[in-house]
Amino acid sequence: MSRNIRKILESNRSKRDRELIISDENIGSLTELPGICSFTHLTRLNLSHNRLDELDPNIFSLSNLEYLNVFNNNLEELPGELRDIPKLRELNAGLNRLVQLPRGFGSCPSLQVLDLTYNNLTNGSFPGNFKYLGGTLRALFLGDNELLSVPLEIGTFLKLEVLVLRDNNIRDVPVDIGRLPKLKELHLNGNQIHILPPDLGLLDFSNPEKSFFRVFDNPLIDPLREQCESMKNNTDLFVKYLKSPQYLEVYTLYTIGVKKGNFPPLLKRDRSGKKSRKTPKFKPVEFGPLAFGAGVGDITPGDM
Amino acid sequence: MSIITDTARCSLCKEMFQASEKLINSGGEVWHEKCFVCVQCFQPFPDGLFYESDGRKYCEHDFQMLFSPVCHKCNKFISGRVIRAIGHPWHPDCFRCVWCDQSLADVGFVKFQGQPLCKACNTLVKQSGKHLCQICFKPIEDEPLFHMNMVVHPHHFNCFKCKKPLETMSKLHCGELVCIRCYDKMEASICVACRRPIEGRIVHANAQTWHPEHFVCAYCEKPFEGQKHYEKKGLAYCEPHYNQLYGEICFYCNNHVIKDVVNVLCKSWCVGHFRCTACDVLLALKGNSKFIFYDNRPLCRKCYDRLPQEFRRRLKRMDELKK
Repeated sequence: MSRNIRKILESNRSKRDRELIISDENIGSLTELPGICSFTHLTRLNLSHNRLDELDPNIFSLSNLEYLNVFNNNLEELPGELRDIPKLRELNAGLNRLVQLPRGFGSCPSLQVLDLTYNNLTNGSFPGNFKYLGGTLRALFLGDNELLSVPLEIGTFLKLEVLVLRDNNIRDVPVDIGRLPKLKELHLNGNQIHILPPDLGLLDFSNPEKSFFRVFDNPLIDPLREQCESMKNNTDLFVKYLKSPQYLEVYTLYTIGVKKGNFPPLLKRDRSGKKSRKTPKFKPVEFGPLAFGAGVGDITPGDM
Repeated sequence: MSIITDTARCSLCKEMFQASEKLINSGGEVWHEKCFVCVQCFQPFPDGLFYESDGRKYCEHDFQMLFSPVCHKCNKFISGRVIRAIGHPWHPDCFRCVWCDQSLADVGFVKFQGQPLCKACNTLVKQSGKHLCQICFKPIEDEPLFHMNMVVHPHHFNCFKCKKPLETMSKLHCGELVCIRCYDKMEASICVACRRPIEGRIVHANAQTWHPEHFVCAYCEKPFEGQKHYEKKGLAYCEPHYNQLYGEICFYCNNHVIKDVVNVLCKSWCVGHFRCTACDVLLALKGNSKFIFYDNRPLCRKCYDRLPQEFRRRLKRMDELKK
């Protein structure tokens, strides 16, 4: 444990500061932060840009925690005990190596913002009770994962305002997305989407200052692509087009009509360079901070 | 008697007198009774009283009409002593100071706004700066009414609308004098809150008018007193209550933004909650601290540099595609 971290911890302990930021300190494990699980006064804990490969299950003893940030670590799994932190509102686990969400994760009682960007999540990674997050979740970030379709039961996420599904391998957009009453931001770019259901036209994207819809970088059918290009950034016009009878005709033509399944070829993407795919050849356990001073970026690539 | 009758002739008609006829003798001349009349109105003199001028006789009325001066104050004929002052004749008794009513016939006077004043009152008037009413020539104690280039008492005029004498305050509406009450009804703004006319300062808001003290927050009902207000659905709110009811919701804390709001990336933040998504550092909107958009969230420069190169490349490409 470096002197710097000791200082931060002691200062926090004496002041009972509700916020603790240990960012970019090259921490490999929570054991390097002795007693952190007893900091029950904490509401915000930021451990971003470290080398953590697991979170101590004792983390659930931080009963007042509202915000947990483990962005840019080496986590392969999250402790299931997260669901026992009653006030946890925001979890940022972006840029990790998660392949699986813990069982029972859906029962996190007050999770509002969930960031799982840049991980290795697939459709099988979500626990069965994931849908129960729908009662509280406002923003779901699933960009840069390995999803082949939108997680099922997205229609139950009635409080969802932001849905990021950017850079996955999603082929189909479920009609349920169009029925999310509060959705203001939808990122669908960088997938393998051919066609959008006309139901997306039900979304209210009329306020350009407060709404956001991205669908470029997809093998869209020609009529959609043309509309997309001609309307540039005017989300409202594009969504209105999706609602129009004109598009309904196009949609039927491509889904059940003469052009059924006549979709453009899938876009080729090489995701092998994703950092989240790399696993360290060896797990650095008890190295001093100096040895890994350059941080996670220098870890030798694995065989994946 | 008969001798006179025989030889004398009427001074007017030069005719002889009939024996039985009455004749009137006056100043050595004789007249028929019907000829002894006023030369102006041909009527006999009342009570035999006549006035003579240039050898012609006039009844009292006509004589005064033709030759007597008329007092400027009481509009009656002046017989006897006449005071001529300020271009008009006066009865000695009528020539008084318009202010203190002191007789000015035998003392000096000063002409003030075309009216006689005694010397003492003149100095007093000059000092107090009061006006003389141009109708009744009395000093105006209250607020004077300036109307048609005259300074007058308001009560000499009636309200055009309600026909009552004007009070001190009155307004001109379409060239007609109206009392303040009628003016308010016709013209002036009515406070939306108390339904009374507004005198003095008016607050215009929501295309309505208010007394400043009645223009209040629809929620806490405190007057704005010149502070910012926010309008929503025809109602005005003070800043905290507008925010509480309709304000932006901070993306981080999911509460209404209390004070300043950061509106970027299709979201709103409290200023204190606008932080880097990764390292929690507070992002300032002013100055040079740049941030990078990352899934429509802010990322500080330092954290952006910590992102995998492959990801940064893609973020850049996304930006280009967007353009």
